[in-house]
Amino acid sequence: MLYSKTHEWFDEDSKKVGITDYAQKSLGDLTYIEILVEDGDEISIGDEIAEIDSVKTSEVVYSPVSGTVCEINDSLEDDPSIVNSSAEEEGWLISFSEFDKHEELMTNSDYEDYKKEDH
Amino acid sequence: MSFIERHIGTTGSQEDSMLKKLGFSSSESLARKIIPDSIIFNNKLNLEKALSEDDAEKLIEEILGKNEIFRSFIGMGYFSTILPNVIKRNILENPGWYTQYTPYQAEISQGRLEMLFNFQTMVSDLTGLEVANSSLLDESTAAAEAMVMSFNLQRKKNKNRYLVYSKCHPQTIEVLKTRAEPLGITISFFDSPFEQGILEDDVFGILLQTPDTEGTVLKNYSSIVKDAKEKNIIVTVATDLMALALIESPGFFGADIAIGNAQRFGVPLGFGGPHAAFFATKEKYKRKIPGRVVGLSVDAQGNPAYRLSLQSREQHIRRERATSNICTSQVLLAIISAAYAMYHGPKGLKKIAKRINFFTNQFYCSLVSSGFNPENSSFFDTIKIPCDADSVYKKALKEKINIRKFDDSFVGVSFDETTEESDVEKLLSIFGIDTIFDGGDSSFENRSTKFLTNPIFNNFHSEHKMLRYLKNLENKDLSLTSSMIPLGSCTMKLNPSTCMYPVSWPKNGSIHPFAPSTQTKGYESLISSLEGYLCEITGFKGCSLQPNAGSQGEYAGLLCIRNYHLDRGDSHRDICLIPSSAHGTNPASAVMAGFKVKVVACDKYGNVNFKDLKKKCEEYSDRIGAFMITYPSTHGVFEDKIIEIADLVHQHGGQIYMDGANMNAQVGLCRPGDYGMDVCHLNLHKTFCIPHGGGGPGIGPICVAEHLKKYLPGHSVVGTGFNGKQVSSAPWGSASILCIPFLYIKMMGFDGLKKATEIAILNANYLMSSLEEHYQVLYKDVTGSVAHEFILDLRDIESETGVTVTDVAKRLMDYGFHAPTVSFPVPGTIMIEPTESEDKDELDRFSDALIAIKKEINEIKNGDFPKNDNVLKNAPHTAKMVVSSDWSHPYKREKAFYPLPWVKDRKFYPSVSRIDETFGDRNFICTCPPVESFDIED
Repeated sequence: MLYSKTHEWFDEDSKKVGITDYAQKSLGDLTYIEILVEDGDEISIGDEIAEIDSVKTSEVVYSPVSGTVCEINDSLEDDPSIVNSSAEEEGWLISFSEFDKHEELMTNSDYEDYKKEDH
Repeated sequence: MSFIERHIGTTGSQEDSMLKKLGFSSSESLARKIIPDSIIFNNKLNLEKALSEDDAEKLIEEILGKNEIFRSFIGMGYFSTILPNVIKRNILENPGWYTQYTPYQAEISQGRLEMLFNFQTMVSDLTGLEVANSSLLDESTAAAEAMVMSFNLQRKKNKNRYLVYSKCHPQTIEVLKTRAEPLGITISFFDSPFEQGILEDDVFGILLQTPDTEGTVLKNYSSIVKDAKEKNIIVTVATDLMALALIESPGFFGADIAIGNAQRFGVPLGFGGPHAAFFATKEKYKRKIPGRVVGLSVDAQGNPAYRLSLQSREQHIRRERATSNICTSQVLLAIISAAYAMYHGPKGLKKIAKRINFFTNQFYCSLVSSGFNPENSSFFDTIKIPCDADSVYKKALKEKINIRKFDDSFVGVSFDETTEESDVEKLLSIFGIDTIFDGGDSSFENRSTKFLTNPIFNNFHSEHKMLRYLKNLENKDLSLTSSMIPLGSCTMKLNPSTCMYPVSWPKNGSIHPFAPSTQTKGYESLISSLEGYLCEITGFKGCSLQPNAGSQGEYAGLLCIRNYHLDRGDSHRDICLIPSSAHGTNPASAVMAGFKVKVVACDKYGNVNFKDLKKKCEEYSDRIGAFMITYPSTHGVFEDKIIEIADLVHQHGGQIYMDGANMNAQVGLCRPGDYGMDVCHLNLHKTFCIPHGGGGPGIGPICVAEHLKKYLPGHSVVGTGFNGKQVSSAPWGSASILCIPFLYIKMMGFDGLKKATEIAILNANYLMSSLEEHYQVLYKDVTGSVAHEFILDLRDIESETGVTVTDVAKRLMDYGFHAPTVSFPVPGTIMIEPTESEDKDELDRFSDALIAIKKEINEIKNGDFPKNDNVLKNAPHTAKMVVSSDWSHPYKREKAFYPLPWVKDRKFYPSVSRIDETFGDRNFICTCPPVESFDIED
C-alpha cells in the first residue's frame, strides 16, 4: 500500500484508490461521497476524483496515480459510512485498469512519520 | 432620555465602573489606543444633530408621506396582497420573530425552523418538485442560481450556452446577463418554447416562464422538457405560486427546477423588497440546490427535530470551490408566506386564485367584445393589450391607477388578491368601455394534482388557532427578547422599536418597485439621504443600496472592480488575493465575479502575512485585480499595516475591496475611504440595526471611491442613476426596510454613532477582562486589549477533558443564552461580540454563565463526572428530560436545569435536546409528508 501527502492510498495489487483511515477520522462522520469520474475515464495524477462531505466539512480527493478508471465503488452513494468503518478496504473509491503512480507516494512507515509532522 | 441613551446599554455610572476596572479614563481613550493612529478620523462626520425618537417618527412620517399610493396593476412579479392581521401583528411586527439570529443553534430555533419546513413543503407541493430550499434573495437571483446550477451539473464543461425565453421578466433577464458574463456563459433568447431546433449541442440549460411576463400561461410544455432531457439539458421554469393553485405545476411537466417570488403570499410590495424567492428541484439534485435547506433529524432522545441540512454545500465550508456565495436568505418573509398559505389552506388559496382569474377573465371578455384584440388568450392574471399605450397609460394615471406600459403600442394589466369589481369597471372605462361581460371558463388546462394536503395546511384557519400556533413556535426560539446573542462578527445589536415602527405602514409597504418616480418622492428622499450618510460614514463617493445581502454586496463590489479593469483594457487582471482568515463568502464571491482566487497566508492571530502578500503581489503583479480584506480582521484586530497593505496592492495595479462585516468597530472613528480602500460593502443588518429576522432579510449596500462610481448597479426597468451591472430584481433592493438604518443614523447623529462604536469596544474589553482568568483569550494586542470582539480558545479544554466547543455552546442554552460564534474564524474557539446595546448587568450575567461552565468543565477534569455523561455532553436539557422518571445521569436534575439561581426566574426552555447532525444529513427529509385524506376539491 502506498500513501499520498493529501492522504489518499493506492494499492498496487488491487489497483484501488481510497482515503486513509487518518483522513476519515479527521473528517468525522461522512454524509455524502460523490465520485467525479466514470469508468473508462483517462485521468492524470492530481486530478479531482471525488468529493467527500461530512456534516462540517467538504474535501476533494485527488488521484495519486494516472491511468484509466476501471470501476467505481457504487455502494458508497447510499452508505458513505463504509469509509468511516473501513477506509482502507471496503471503502475504496475507484479502481484502475492500468496506471502510472506518483513519484512521491510514501510507504507505510514514511506515511506514519508524515502524519506526525502534519499534525 | 435621548435615543442614544436608550440604544447604548452601558451608560453613566456603569461605564465609569467598567472603565475603572480596565484602567482607562474614558471610552474614547480606550478606542484610540486600539485603532492605529495613522487611520484615526479626527474630524466630525457631517451629519445633522441627533433627533429624539418622537421627532424622528414625525420626520419619517413626513418623508414617507410624499409617497403616493396608486392602485397597482403593473404585475411583473410584484402584486398587491392582503397580509392577514394575525400574521402582521404576530410575525412582521413582533420582535420575538424578527430579532433571532440564523438558526445554526438548532435546539433553540425550532420555531422558525418548523415554519421554514412548512415553507419548503408549500413550495415543493405547488411546484410539484420534491426538494425546496428555505428561500433565496429574489426571483432574479433565484433564476441566476438555477442557471449556475444547471451549468455545474454537466461534469465536463463543454457546453456554455443558456437558452432564455424572451418573455421572462426583464429584471430576471438582466441579472442573468450579469451572472453569465464572468463565468463564460453565453445567453441566447427564443420567442416560443414550441420553436423547433433550438436545443443545440452547446446548450446546457433552458429557462421558461409561465405565466410569462406578458401574462400567457404556457400550454403543455412536456414535449420540450422531453427533448431537453434527451440532450441532458436542464429545464428551469420561473413561475408564480398563486397561479400554481390553478395551473399545472412545472414538476408535472417534468421540469428540473422551478423558481419564483413568494411575495404575493402576504408580503407587502415594499417598493421592491424584501421578499422571499423560492427554489425547488428534483430529489436527485438535492445536493446541488443553492441556499439553506431545513431538514428533519432526531434529537438525543429520538424526538423529531429540525436543523439546517447539508451545510457542506455552502460557501462557508466550500469557499472558492463553492458554486454560489448565498448565505443570508429571506427567513422572515418566507415565514410570512408560509403562514399565509397555512391560514388560507389549499381551499382558500384556490378561491383567491379563482377570484383573480375571474376578474381577469371578465376584463378580457369585455375588451374582446368591445373590439380589442389582446395579445394573449391564455392567461391567469395578466393581459397584454394593443392600444395607444401612451394615452391609455396617462388616462390611468389620472384615475390614480398604474398599469404597465410595454412601448407605444402595448400596455399590460395584472390583477391580484386586492382587485374588486369596481377596479375592473374603472380599468375598462379607461379603454372607453362601459359594459362588463362575465368571462367563461379559465383559458388554460386546470391543475389536476393536489397540493398542501398535509394537516399543517388544513388546521389553522381560525384566528385563535393561528395565534396560538405562532406563539407556541415563537416560544421555541431564543431571540433578543430573551437575552443577549453575543455572536462574534454578526453584531446582534438592538433593533430599535422606533426604527421598526414604519416598516408596516402602507406608505412604506404599498408601493410597486416600478411605480412612476412622480409617486415615489418619499422613497427618493429617503434613499438619497441614506446613500449620502453611508458615503459620509465610510469616506466614499458613491453608494448603491441594490444588493440584498452582504454576499451580494461583495459580488456587486467585485464586479465594479472587474469592469473598471476591463474598461481600462486590463482584462488580464484576473486574480483576487484573499487572506486565509477571510469569511467563506469572499472567495465564493470572487469566483462568481470571474476572478481566480489566490490565498494570502495569515499568522495565527489572523493578521495578513505582509511578506507573503508582497511575494504574491510580485509574482502576479500584472494579474492582480483585487485584494479583499476584512477590517478590522475576522479575528477582531485592527491591523496596523493597513495603509502599507493598500499602497502595496495599488502599486501592483490592484484594487482593494474591504469586507465591511466589522464596520461597527469603525463608525465615527475611522473611514475606509480615507485609508486607501476602493470599495466596501456594509451589512445594514449588523452595523445599522436592521434585525436579522432569524436569517434574513439583510441589506448589503456598497460604497465606492470616485473612479468606481460609474460601475455601481443600474436597473433594466427603473433608472438608479448608475449604469453598472444589475445584481438584484429591484432597483433599490430591500427598499421597505431602509427606514431602519435611516432612522438609526438620524437618532444617533455623529456623537451617538461614535459613542456606540466606543462602547462596543468597551463592552468587549470588559467582558474579556471578566473571562480571561478562566479561559484562554486567543489574541490581544500589544497593550493587552481587544477591539469590538474577542476569541476564547477552547482547544486545550478539549484535549484535556473531551469537552468540545459545541458542548459549551449547547450548555449555554441551559443558562438561557445563545452561543457565541462557534469555530469561526478558528476551529475549536468561540468568538464573542457583546455590542454596545448590552448593559453591564447582562454582560455580567453572561460571564457568570461562562465561568460556571468552566467550573463544570473542571469537575470533569477532576474526575467528579465521567467524560461521556455530564452536564456538558448532555446539554441542552429539555423539560421532558428532567421530568422523566428514568433519570440515570450522575448529576442532579437541578444542576442540569437550573445551574445558577437567576436561571429559575428567567428560564428559557429548549424544546429539543442535542440534535443528531449526521443522521439528518444521511437521511435527508425537507418537506412534510403528503396526507391524502384531505380533499381540497370544492
